[in-house]
Amino acid sequence: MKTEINLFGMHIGMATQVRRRALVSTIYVGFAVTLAFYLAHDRAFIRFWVLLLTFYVARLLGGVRSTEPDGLLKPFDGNEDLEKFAEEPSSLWTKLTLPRMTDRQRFHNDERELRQRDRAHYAAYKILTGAIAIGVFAAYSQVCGSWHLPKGLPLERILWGSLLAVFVASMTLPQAVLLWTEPDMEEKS
Amino acid sequence: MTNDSSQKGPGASGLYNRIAVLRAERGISRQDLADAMDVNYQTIGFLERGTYSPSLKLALDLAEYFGLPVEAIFSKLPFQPLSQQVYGTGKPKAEPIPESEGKDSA
Repeated sequence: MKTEINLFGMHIGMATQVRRRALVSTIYVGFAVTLAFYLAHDRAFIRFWVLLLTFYVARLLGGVRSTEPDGLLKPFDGNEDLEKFAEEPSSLWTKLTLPRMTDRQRFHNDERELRQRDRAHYAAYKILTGAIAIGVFAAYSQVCGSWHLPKGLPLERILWGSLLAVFVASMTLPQAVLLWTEPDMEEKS
Repeated sequence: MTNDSSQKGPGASGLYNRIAVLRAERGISRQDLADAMDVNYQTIGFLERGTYSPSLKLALDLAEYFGLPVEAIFSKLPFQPLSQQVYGTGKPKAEPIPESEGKDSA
């Protein structure tokens, strides 16, 4: 994990857990407000905006595959990619599918980082499953007539909103869990 | 070899270790040790505090690096301080003189 984040060229220190939690909270509050706005006013550009924002946030937080990983976290697939790169560094397939892995430290996850990565994915999976279960329960109870959709809120918009929320969560939740749970970073001395 | 004064308990790993002491003794920085072990320097910090239990391979790599048996670096029981190992129990030999007796003799 890096000690600072690159936000539009500004380098902001993220060594402390408090700062990382503030960043994660800000991101999800931003997504929640955007999705609430979408539910209130159906605009196609908001859907597109959410997709763009999700890709930007995923790149900012890290974890995803990138030719120039500059997110807070190393790519989750870094070790596997390093192995593939080492096997066939000059093949066309390697050149097309893998970044130029010249700086090993930017891609290599050590055994603790791998363990934390796996735990974060499991935690994210549980959170996502819980959220989907609540959604399914709400849908069933609506079908059974326990509650009614608010006027002016069509089912299609709710489906789109739910899909976008699941997409945001699946792209960013493991990284968010990691950034939320990792303790303060220490000096190198 | 002294006990690791920075590690008050076994930590979440359930293991005591002497990594911080060994590193200090030999003047090695966390980054140097991390580079030698091919891990992040943060991981060395977690190992030293006992919040992370290393794999068998990493434990053996550390033992090889320090030139010590693995049980000299990791233990399920607290390590004995050097003073106790060299000079015995470490308890004071002379009984302290009670204050009242000291005043009488003066």
